[in-house]
Amino acid sequence: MAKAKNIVPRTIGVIIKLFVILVFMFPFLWMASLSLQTQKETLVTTFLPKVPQFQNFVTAWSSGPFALYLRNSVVIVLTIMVVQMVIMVPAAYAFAKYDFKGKNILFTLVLVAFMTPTQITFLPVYYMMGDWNLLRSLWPQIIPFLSNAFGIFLLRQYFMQIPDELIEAAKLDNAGELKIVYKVMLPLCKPAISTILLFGFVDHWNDYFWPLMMTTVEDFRPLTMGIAALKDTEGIVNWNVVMAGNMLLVLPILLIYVFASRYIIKAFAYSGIK
Amino acid sequence: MKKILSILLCMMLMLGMVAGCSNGGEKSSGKGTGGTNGTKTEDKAKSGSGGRKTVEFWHSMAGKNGELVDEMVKNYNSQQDDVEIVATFQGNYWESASKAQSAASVGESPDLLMMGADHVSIFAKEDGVLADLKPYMDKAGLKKEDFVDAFIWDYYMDDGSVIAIPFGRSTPVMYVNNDMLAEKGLKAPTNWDELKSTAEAFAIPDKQYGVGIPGADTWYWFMIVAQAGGQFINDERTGLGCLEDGTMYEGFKYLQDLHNSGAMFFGPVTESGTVVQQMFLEQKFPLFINSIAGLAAVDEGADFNYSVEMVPEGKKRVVPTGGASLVILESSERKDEAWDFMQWLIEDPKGSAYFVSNVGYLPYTKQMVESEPVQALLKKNPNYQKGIDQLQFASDKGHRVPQIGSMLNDILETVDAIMYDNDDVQKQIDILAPKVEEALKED
Repeated sequence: MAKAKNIVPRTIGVIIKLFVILVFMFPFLWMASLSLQTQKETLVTTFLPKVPQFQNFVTAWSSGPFALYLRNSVVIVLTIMVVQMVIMVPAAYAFAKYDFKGKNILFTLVLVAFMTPTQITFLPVYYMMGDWNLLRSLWPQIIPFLSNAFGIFLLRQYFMQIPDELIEAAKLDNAGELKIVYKVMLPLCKPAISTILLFGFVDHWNDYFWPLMMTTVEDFRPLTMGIAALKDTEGIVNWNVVMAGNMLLVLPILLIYVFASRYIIKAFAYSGIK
Repeated sequence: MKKILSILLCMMLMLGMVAGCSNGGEKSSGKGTGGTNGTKTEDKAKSGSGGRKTVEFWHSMAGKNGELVDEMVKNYNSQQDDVEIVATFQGNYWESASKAQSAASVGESPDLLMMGADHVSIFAKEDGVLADLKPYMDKAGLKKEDFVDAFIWDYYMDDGSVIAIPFGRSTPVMYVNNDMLAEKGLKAPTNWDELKSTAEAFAIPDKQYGVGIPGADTWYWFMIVAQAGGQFINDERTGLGCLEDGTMYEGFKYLQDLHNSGAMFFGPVTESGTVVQQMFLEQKFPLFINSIAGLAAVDEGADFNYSVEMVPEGKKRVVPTGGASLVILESSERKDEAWDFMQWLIEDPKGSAYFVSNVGYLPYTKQMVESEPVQALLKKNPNYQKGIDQLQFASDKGHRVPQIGSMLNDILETVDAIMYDNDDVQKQIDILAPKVEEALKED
């Protein structure tokens, strides 16, 4: 009798979940479908291509120096991720566990940075990069992002939940500050680190506006600009090729998410250390 | 953890070295000038491949159009040994103009720049930004009369200088699905009344429309005012010239009513042209008002009998012009070389004639109309002739003032409110009027 009572709400729950999944998955599925269609098929509403056109991926890849764009994207994103780890972690630790003059003001500045969109800062940064003779390099796409305000904020919240007793115990074992941060605090924050890195990766991997403004020659352009150049400004748009290009862009993110998803869930469901 | 940290730090060091010293690695098939770190204008005057002088050409052509630009540039580069044109896509007209503006401040401007027809005014307003092309034109024997007047009249400044040359220029035309019209025994409309009645004959709420027009483009709104017999900016250039005579209200209200009746599909804010064009190719409406530059795309995608007709006329037959023009920046140290390429584009059949005939843009010199590529297109697709025939009615004199670039966003806001929010037309006009007056006060 109890089982029978449960079936209806469970079924409704499953239907709702499937519906939500479909709503979120549909754009990706549609993109994948378009990437395998012919040009003619894209002009009418076609859910499944008659014959998958894998050639579209080759066409997208060979339409420009995509190996160069990919290399640039990888270099930019990896450099940012690595340096952010070096800067963010000690900064968050200091904000969480130390009291010093100007701490609150500095943290407020971090929050201000968090809330300031890049569209506001691009012009002064562009001039700075011009003055420093860095415009014809990858640095304008890296330097402004070497620190991560969101990361500092999230890690600080995590660090604040770690009991001071753990740190005192480590000090009693003659651990220095660097050891405490990287051997004691950081391992307890794997979910937060994964989240920050994944969000940062997605952010910078997908960035279009900043590279558009900071680059004037092809040699320093990332993948996003290569994909954008697939789309005609006037005339017919080969959506199949554009979507194939987008699939190439999105694939690394999907792969990384598959591996990091459980950490992200943990990060947002963190309930404190026992 | 220690191992991972060590690896990460090593990677950082390596990547930092790679990023900072990067020479661009794999050369991007002739595009880009190599990865030297931060060159200013004085360093830019350097040699390209084989000791040739490089001219940086920023353009806004992507996809197939971008490939055509690359081919043109390749043709030019292969025909001589002195100059290497380096063409780079810089985003759409707005993005490219913004970048050129900021690049000027740090000495990173291009030599040659493609600009939207309405955006040239943004640069033209400032003294000393755009190079005077008149001396070059005189030396080459090119006169104003050699060009299609509608495409060049506004580049002749009051001081006698010439600040731009047309490149990919266009006017709106009406694409017609003759099969759909034949089913209802109708013909292509020739005036506003016929457009309204023909469009309404096809309207099925949310399923089918009579006519589609892309949104987010001011030229239709300049056109509708001119067709109502009005002049967008008054002769004194102090404000709207179409207020007191009611022509702005008449034109804007006509389009709003057509939209509200369900007879017109008005494109979305973004990707408007491609969305509406796709719907036309899917036969969601029989009439499609769009740039002649979409001709190649319609020809490729249409599975039905289509034709190109002149845009239906109101009290007057007027069409605006659009597309892109080329300017040489005054800061360039390669003006002579940039002009050489420009002249080649004007005169050589492998230049602009090749480009316009492959896209559907209109020829901008009288010589170009007679060129082999344009004649070949006319033979292949006689619809193109309608675009050329309509040129006699092309005029931007009612709206193309030096400050027009500053007003476009305000005009689009008005259009958005009228068409997407169905706001009162007069109210929106009253909001727009002082903004236009303010913009016109700029020098």
